[in-house]
Amino acid sequence: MKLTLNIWRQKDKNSKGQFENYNLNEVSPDMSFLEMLDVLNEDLLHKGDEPVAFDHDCREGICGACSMTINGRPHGPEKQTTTCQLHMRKFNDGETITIEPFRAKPFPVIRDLIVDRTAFDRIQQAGGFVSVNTGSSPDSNAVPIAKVAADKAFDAAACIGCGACVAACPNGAAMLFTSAKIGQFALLPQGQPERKERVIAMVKQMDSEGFGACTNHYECEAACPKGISVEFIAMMNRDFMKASFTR
Amino acid sequence: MKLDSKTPSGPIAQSWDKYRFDMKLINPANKRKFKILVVGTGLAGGAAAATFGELGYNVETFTYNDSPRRAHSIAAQGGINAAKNYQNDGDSIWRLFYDTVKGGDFRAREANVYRLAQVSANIIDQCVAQGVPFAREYGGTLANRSFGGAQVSRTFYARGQTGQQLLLGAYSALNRQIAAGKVKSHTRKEMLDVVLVDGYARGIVTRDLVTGKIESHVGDAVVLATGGYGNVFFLSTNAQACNVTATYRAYKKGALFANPCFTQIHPTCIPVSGDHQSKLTLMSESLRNDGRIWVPKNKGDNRAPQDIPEQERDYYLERKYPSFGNLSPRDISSRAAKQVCDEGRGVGSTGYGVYLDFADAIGRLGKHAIEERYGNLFEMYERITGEDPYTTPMRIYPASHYTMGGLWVDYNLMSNIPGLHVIGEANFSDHGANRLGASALMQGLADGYFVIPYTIGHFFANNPVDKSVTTSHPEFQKAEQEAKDKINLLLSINGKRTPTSFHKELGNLIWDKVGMARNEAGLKEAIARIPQIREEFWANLNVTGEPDSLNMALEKALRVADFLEFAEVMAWDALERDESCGGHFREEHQTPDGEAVRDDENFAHVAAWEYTGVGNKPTRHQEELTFENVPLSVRSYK
Amino acid sequence: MSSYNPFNSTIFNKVIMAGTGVILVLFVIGHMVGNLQVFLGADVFNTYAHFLKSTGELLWLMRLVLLLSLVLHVYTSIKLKFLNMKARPEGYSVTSYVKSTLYSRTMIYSGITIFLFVVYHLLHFTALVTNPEYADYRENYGPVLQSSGVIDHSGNIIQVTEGEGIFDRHDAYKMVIAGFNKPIVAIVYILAVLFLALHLSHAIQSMFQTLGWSGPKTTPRLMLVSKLIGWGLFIGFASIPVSVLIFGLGKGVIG
Repeated sequence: MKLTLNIWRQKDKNSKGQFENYNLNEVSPDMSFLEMLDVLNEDLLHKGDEPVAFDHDCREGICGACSMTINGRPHGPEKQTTTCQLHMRKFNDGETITIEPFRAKPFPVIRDLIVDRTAFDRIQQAGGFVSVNTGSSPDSNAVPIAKVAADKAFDAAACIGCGACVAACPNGAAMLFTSAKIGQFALLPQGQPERKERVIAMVKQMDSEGFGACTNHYECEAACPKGISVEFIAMMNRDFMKASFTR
Repeated sequence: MKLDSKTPSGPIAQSWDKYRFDMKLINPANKRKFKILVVGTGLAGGAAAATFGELGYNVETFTYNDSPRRAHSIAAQGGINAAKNYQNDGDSIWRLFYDTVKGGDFRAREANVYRLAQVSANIIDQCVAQGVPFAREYGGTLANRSFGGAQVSRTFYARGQTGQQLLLGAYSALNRQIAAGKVKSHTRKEMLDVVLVDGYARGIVTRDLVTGKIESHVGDAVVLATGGYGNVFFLSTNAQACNVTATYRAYKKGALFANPCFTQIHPTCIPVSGDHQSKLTLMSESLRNDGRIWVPKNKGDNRAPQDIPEQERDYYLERKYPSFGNLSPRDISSRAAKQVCDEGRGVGSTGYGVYLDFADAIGRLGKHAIEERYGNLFEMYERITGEDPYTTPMRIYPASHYTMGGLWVDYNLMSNIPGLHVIGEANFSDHGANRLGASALMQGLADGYFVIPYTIGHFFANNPVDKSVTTSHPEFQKAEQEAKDKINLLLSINGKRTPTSFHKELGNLIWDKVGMARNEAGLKEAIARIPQIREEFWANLNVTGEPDSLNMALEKALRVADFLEFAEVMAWDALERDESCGGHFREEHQTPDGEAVRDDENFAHVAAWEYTGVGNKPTRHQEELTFENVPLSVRSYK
Repeated sequence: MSSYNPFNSTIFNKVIMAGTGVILVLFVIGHMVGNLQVFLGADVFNTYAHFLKSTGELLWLMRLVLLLSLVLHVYTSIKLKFLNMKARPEGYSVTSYVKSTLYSRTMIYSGITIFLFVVYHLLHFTALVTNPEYADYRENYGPVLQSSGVIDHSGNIIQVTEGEGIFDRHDAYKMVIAGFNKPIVAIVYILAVLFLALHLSHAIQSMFQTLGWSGPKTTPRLMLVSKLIGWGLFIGFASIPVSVLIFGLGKGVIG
């Protein structure tokens, strides 16, 4: 396969970026998208240029490190697939592919396609935990949890924290991420004692990071590599209002 | 050097309790006077840092990822073992202990393994309390499954992402401590060196991966939780950034590297598709519960799998190991696959693959049942290979997955350098020569939540800390300068080859000669070849960019440079361990039908290697292992 | 924590949007049902109009609530729009949407258009600023049984007159027919309700989501309901100018 890549290059946080064009002539359809970028980077190194910087690690769709917008879609065109699991057979010979970093004010570009997603960590630090010290837990079967509740909590917990929801949202909102974290705990008995404080603290942090507001486009759900449902946003809204009035 | 494991004496079932009682304690008000540096924030590091914070210590954590949540613990699929006996099927601490020692082919320290089995139950309690959504039965109790050929159902799981859920649990506990101000989290910082002052590990030197800044950090103890070295093979199931640098740097500062040749090869990975391959993707071992593994009986049979009649297929695992069949342990299944491929009967474009066929299971249970059980795995396979496993058999091949070897530690999980503790996959302690399925998560969390928080207090209580040491101490300055010099050197070679090309070359060599099956000639060849590659690396490397900015090629070069030295230690260990055991298979030591033959007389010990200079043969030390509770026996899966 | 006011949050602002939205949607539906009475003839329509005016304080209370809702709705939407624009200062060079729709992404523009139209609409038919002559459209109605009386200082009825009378009221029917007979007015009106339909197709379902009353099963249904209501309103509202302009509804009253 021959491909033309139109890639965002930006030296660092404070520099201005621009698109650069690259041609690749021998792309195998069996390559993953990141392996295709590896080939480009080896080429660039041979030419004495600097490789395109991108975040990646596990390359099996679970660490949530890879973060790029491919032809206008975070993680590219495949449903419920991270960039690292996207394969080149999904593209056509001769195609031009535009690759941009995830775009949002709270995700500043660090270099090329790498963005700073520590805002997510701070949202979690605001309350995304159960305050239980090591050793002070009861026997795990002491509190039965209905399978339905456990399964649904899992659906929320499946979030890999990649930020595609923010990148896809026309408003740059982080509601899907935040609500998935809140939802996981809200659905489990362990999360109940801190439920109100948690939802308020985490939403507060989310707002102060500068994420946008949800206008229910559901682009986040479509982009989420783990298929997390926007029902968690509805749940968070309800929880948040309830907590605001009864706290 | 005498290796004192500090293993408590007396009956093993009471040893940890007794030891805990005998340990000195630190007054709660005094704990805040100690600072612990934790390098690596996966299951072991994250759990340890969170627990240290809860206890009142001051903690700083370091990870090269952008968030602690991305450590490669996240990728574990299958589950975590615990001796809860919730299924009433005869499990017990003793049985988990027994299975682990035996599964490790009698190369692990009994007391450590017993402690691991003992605290395994607490881990599950802790994780559930944190809100980890484990799989449950309709009655609301926790579900279990049997895993990796275990005869009891003791594995707890969270769909196919147990590792991620457990890591998120530890990460949430860590976040709580970060919010409370007890833990300071450093992200995108890679450790380049450990700093010793007066023989004690007192700090580390890191490189900020965004600004390139070389920084020193001082503490009263250092805990390495930096994972394994599986990427020495270049292709492995490890994440791209996994590396040996932290543990190797400690080794160069005098810490002993134990059993580096004990590496685990996982039998069910998606085979290599071409030169571009950057990693191998693991398919959960649970697939072997319903899939049948086979290759054509005849060499070079290129027909489509559907066109190969039943009588011309060789279900080699079922043939060789009738009682365990397709569920034979990892090392046995892996080697059997390599053997048939070496015979020229492998499948797929490269000839390095075997079929994992679900046709019978689909015929017996229906497509729907298979979809229920493995739907997400089948989807993943199709995404990667473009083939539909419902209609055509999967192709699988073994890949490097886990490394049992690691820095030598005593019962306190402290290396031979005072103050330098090593936990999780980074140490060597619990799995012996082979790790059982679903035991890696267990060990990481056991070390982090329930062992190191006690033993580190014991260390502080016994070792007065020199509080006058700061980062301006000459040792820190020296380590910083060395790191800077090395980086400048790498950037100034201006050769022709990329760091990745060297990594690939090294990986291929190690996979061929120090991989699934090893022999004396091959190992000697590797020992001769590695220095040559290393020499070329330092003469012909091409790294572009600057030292003081985000520089992926430089990061890679730094890691490859250490792999190029470490690989030699691994090869030496494999050569000197003149027996077959667990993941270490020496072709010279096998039964006529290809089973590993252990040499307990001469090798029932831990081999711990001491650094003697680059290119020199390291010194081999031994810690003898005694088996008083699990009698030495031959592993048989026939 | 204490310094944080959850009522300044993005979520609370969204709830304001949804809450005022509910009021406005209910009004619009009621308004359409009322308007459709135009097809039942001048008498019915004028009676309805007269009834509305006769409710006095209640009418003003309604108007106040509606005005407040409208202002809050518009104010909050603009505030959030700026917030959202700030959240993505640098946009994508290529965009490709999956679930959102053109109208979900243009809510602010359809909304502003509708708002401007509402202002015009009020000036046109309610305050009669654009067309003061509408005030002169009067209609006699009756006979209606009326009784009147005179009361003295101490409250006793001193005189009773019983009888029939012819009374006079605003001819809203004629006003509507006259208004829509101008093609430009009719077209503006139709366009405005088209924007309303687009706006509501997203808005109604969105309200439920924001208020936390939707789930994976109900959301697709709510999306359908949303579109049905939106386009139902369009047909209902647009049918009047179309009937007047094209089919000559009420041609007689304006000669």
